Amino acid sequence: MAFFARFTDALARLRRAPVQLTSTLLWNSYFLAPWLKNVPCPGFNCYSCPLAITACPIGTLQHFIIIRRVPLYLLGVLGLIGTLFGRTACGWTCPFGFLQDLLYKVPLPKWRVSNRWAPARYVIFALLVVIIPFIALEPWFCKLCPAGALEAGLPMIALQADLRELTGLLFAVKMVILALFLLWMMVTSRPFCRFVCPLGTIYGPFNRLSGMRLHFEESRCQHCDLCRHVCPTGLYPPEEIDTAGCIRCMECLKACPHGALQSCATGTSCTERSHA
Amino acid sequence: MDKRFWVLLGLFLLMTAAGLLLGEARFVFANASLICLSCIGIQ
Repeated sequence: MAFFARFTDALARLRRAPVQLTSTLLWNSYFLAPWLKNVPCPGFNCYSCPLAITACPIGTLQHFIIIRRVPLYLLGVLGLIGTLFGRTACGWTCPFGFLQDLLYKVPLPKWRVSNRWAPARYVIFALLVVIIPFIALEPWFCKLCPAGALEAGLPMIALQADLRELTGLLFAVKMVILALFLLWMMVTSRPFCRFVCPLGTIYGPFNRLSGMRLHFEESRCQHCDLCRHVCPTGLYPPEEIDTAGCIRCMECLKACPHGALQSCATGTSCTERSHA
Repeated sequence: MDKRFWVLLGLFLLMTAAGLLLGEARFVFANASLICLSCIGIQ
């Protein structure tokens, strides 16, 4: 469908940071639309953040598992986002992804971590989001979630004195996890998205099935490796574009001077980006 | 368009509609409107 090719092409022409900033402000604009909390956030954003207007899909999923109900509405909405756009939300609208992009700009020596550890996110998803909440009847991913610690834990403790008295070992553990992730985000690009994020784990498989697709045209590739250097998730786009780890940030499309990386829609021919 | 795309789109539209008819959106709202003590790190 031409729509997806045009949409992808339009995204590839946009600067990502302003879109990410707008999304982050939108998902945390409580005074604009507090009634939107019945809508799952397309990105990773804690619903206990005092300013959040949408529901955290992972927190919601755990609560449905705990009460032994199949979350048809939640899985339907996430499936629709995935079927239409794959992991595009990760690259463009996720507040926690935006935080990682910002922290990686901190001028510190960088630590490249191999993507061979990426399957860890499937284990984390299975254990902390599904199996342990099912058995223990408690949302264990939320208990350890660094996004919750940052967006809910710190502001709520700062705002409500009575909550401060209830903090204990779990809060301390959560703060340590948050601190470790914040440090890791400064030296490794998008570590949470690559190795942990349960929402990215859900969206990932849709990259190969979604209406929106990215494509590598081998005959145009000059093997300059510019795409590899700009990929925030450490992928090698000629071989790994549109795999489950691709967050569809389009940085590789923008960087390729030969038009070897293209936007396209499933079942249709791909559109080469025009280069200035 | 790929047939799988349309099948998935239809499936997830149906799931969303079924969930809405079963009132799940209200449960999501109620749950998300509470302060999640696990998210804060208290309980």
